[in-house]
Amino acid sequence: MGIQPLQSPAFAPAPRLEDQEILVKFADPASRNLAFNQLVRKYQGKVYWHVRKMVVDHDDADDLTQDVFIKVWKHLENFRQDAQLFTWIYRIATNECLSFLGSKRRKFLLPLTDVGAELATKIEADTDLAGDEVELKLQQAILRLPDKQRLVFNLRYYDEMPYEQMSEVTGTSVGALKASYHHAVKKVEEYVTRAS
Amino acid sequence: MNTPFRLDQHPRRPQPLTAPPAGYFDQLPTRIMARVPRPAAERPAAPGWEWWLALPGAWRTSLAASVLLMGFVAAFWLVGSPAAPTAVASLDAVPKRELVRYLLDSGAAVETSDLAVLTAAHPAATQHFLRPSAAEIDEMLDAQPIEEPQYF
Repeated sequence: MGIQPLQSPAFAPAPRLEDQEILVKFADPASRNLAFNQLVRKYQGKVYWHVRKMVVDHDDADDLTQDVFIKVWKHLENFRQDAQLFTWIYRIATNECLSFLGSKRRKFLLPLTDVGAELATKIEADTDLAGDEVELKLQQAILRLPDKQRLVFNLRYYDEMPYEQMSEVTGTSVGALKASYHHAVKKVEEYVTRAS
Repeated sequence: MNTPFRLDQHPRRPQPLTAPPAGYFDQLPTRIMARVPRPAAERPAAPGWEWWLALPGAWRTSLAASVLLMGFVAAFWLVGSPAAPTAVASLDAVPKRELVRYLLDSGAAVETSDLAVLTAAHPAATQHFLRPSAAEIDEMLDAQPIEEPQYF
């Protein structure tokens, strides 16, 4: 497989103490709002881009990002701390994305490929990709992956998340994740090669 | 033949899509905070009423409706029912002699039709003060003009 795990500073776990400090402050009603504001500021970028890469459209990503943090607010008191806070938040964000895409498919009675094609059309309108044909083909190839495989691909390729953390986020075994990522890379490479 | 595309040789763009509008991440926390439910600490319950806030919403609604209903029942029981006995009791307190004198002296014209209506509504109303014999009843009935127009 061509892609090697990267030691990403972008996805290194946030300092445990800082998360712990946020949780302690959140438990105190007097400082709850302040703590949650800190939490949102800390993770909003990661959550937004995680969601955005799944749903492509900014407005959808905006709505879903807000929904994710509202759920975090509602359930943070019950967070058991047997997982890292950002992993837990990612799991909520992942579930929201998959539910959104699933409901969209059910609502319009669309097969899997049509949703991918719809997202691919949105990608073509993205001004940042204008003029970069290979990158555009790459994004279209990624969007043709099934939702869960695309999620695995994004977490690994873009977010450089270790497989163990991906396992916590997706609830899938490390072995299955490795296989899924390997197949995803092959599909993407084949599509871009064919389309070029 | 196309050159095979290799993902590991392609420069990776961490954020491949167009960035959100300028200032988006500055405003997002405020928008999220505006949507979060108000914490319970900002709605302090009166002392002794903490249990009320601890109840689920549906329970609170049904309990409040039950209390309101019981209030209506209690009000009806305490105010409505004793009213009639009180009126009867106050009338009973007036001696019958006084009642008869009032009816005779006040010029009130008690007609046969009034008595007919009274006995129709309360058949036992006259049992306490009229105890006629059968002969007296026959005599009274014979004396009644049968042409009294209002009964036809």
